[in-house]
Amino acid sequence: MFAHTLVSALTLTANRTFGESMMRFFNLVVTRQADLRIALYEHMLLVLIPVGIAICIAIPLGILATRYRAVEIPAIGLANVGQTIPSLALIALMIPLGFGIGRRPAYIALLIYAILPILRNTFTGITSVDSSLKRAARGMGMTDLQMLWKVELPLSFPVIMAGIRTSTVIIIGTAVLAAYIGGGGLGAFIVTGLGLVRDDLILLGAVPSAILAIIADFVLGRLEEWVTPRGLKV
Amino acid sequence: MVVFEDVRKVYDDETVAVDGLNLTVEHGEFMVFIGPSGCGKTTTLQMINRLKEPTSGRILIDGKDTKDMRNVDLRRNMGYVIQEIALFPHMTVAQNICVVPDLLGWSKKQKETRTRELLELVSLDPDIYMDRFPRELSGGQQQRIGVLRALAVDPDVLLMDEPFGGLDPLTRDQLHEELKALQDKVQKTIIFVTHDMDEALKLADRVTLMRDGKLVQVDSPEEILRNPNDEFVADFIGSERRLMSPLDVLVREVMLEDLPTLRPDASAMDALRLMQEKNTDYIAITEDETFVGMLSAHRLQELRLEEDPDSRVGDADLVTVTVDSRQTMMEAVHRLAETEEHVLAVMNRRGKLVGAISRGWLPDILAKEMWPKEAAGYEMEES
Repeated sequence: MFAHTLVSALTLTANRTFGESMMRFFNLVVTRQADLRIALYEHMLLVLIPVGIAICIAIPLGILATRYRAVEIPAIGLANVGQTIPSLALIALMIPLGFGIGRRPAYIALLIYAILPILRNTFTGITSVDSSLKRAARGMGMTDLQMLWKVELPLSFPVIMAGIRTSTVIIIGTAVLAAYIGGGGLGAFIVTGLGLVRDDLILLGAVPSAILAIIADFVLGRLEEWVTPRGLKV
Repeated sequence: MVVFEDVRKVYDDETVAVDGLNLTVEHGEFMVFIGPSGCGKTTTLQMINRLKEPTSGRILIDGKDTKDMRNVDLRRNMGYVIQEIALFPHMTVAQNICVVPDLLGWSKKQKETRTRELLELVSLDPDIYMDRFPRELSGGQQQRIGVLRALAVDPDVLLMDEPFGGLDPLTRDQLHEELKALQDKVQKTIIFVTHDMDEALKLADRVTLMRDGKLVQVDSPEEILRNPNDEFVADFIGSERRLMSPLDVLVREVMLEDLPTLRPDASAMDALRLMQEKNTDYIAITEDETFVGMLSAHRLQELRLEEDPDSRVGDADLVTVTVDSRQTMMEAVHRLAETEEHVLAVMNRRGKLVGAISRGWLPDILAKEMWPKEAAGYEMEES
C-alpha cells in the first residue's frame, strides 16, 4: 500500500523538486488543518473499532481453538484464507457482498483483516507454553480454567500483545484503502490527490498515516514489554 | 499406603504399557520404580494421580479407590515432581511453592509461614529466595523448590518422575542426600521413578524393577543386588555392582536384632546373668522405649561386681555411640575403630533402637557376606 502511494507520489513529483512538494505539503497542513483533524479522527476510528472488536473475538476464539480441534481447524483456516485476499480486493468486495459503501463496510473489511494476527498469536502463544509446565499444573490439581488463567495466559501474554501490535500497524496502513468505498479517514486525501494529480494532497494523507503507524508500533511495543511477566525478562 | 490391584494400561494404539500390576507401597515407604525406557514405570506413576487412567484394575490410596475421587482433589493431596522441574517462570519462588495452597484458598499469612518453613527445611534463606524468579536459580536450587512445591500442603504421597535426571552428577548426589534427610523428617510415602540403578539403590527402601509393563522383582536394594531374580535383573544391575565388598552391605542387613534389654535400674548381677544366658557380650539399656546406652561385657567388668554387688547397670559407663541402620558396614567398622568401643547401637531413621553391631560378631558377619552358602551350612551344623 505504502509502496503504491509512494510510486504515485514519485511519478507526480518527477517534474518538480522534492523540496517544492514538501513546501506545498506543509502549507496544506496549515490551511487544511480542520480537515486533517477530522480525517485523523476518522482514521483512528477505522483502526480502533476493528482492532478492538478483533481483540474481543480473536482472543477467546484463539483460546477455544487450543481446547477444541473442532474450533481450531475452521478458525485458523478461515483466518488464514482471509489474510490471503489482497486488502484492496477485500475492501472492494464489501460492495458486491451487499454491505454497500461508507464506514460500516470499511469496519467489517478491516475487522476481518485485523483478526488473523491476534488469533494466530493467541493460538501459538498458548500452544507453545512448555508442555511440562502444563503437566505440572495438571499434576498439581489445577482445573482447565485455572491452568489457562494462572499459567497459559500469563505466559503467552507477550505473544498475544505482539499479535495486537502487528494487527494495529497493519490496519493503520490498510485503513487508507477504506476511502475507496467511502470509509473516510486519511485515505480520502490520497484518493483525491491521486485523482487530481496533486502530490501535496497525497502527502497530506500518507505522512500522517505513516507517523500514526510508527507511534502505534512504539507505544504498543512498550506495552508489550510492560505486560511481560517479570520472571520472563532477561 | 498405595495399592495397585490388577492395574492394566493399554494405549489407543494397543500397546500394553502396564500389564496386570499388583503391588502395595507401604505408608512411609520410599519405593523406587526402575526399568528400561518403555517399561511402563512413568505410566504407572501417572496413573496414581490420574494424569493417565488405568484401562482396568484399581488403585487405592489408604483404602480409597482413586476413581471415586475428583481428580483435582486427588492431585492436590499428592506431591508431584517431574524431571523438567517445571517451575512456573512467571511466578516467584514463594508463588511457585504456594501453587497448591493457593488452589486450596489458604490465607496470605498461612502461605508465607509455610513458605518460610519449607525453605528453611532445605537451608535456603527465605529472605533471600522467596522473591526470586526461577531463572535466577541454579538447576539444583530449582529442583529443591520443585520438591518443596510438592510438599507445600504436606501430602502423604509424593510422586517423583525422574526428578534429578536433568541435573549434573554432583548436584544430583547432593540432592540425594538432602532428599534422604528430608524423608527422615517428613516421612512421606514416596514413589520415585528412575532409570538410574545407582540412584535406586541409594534412595530406595524397596525397588520395583519393571520390564514390558510387568513387575520383574520387588525387593530391598540389597536383596536385588545379592539375589537378582533372573538374567534380566542381573544385567540391569550391571556386573560391577554385584561384586560387592562385604563392607558395602548396609548395617540393617547384618545387624544383630532382638537385643537383650534391661532398664537402667536393673542390677548389674542380673545383667551378667543375662549375658551368660544369651551368650552375648552386650545388653541394650532402655527406659520407656528410649535408648539410654549399650552395656558391653567390657564395661560391666569395670563395675567390679565382687566389691560392689549392688551396683545397677545404669552406673556403668554405657556406650552411646550409634550408627544409622542405612549406613554401610564400612562406616560402622570405621566408627568402631575410631571410638574404640566394642559395640555400636543401630538406630533407624526415626531414631529408634533397632539392633547392634558388636566387635565380637564382626568376623561372622563378614564371613556370611563373603561366603553366604558356606556360612548358612555352618549355622545349621551349629544348631
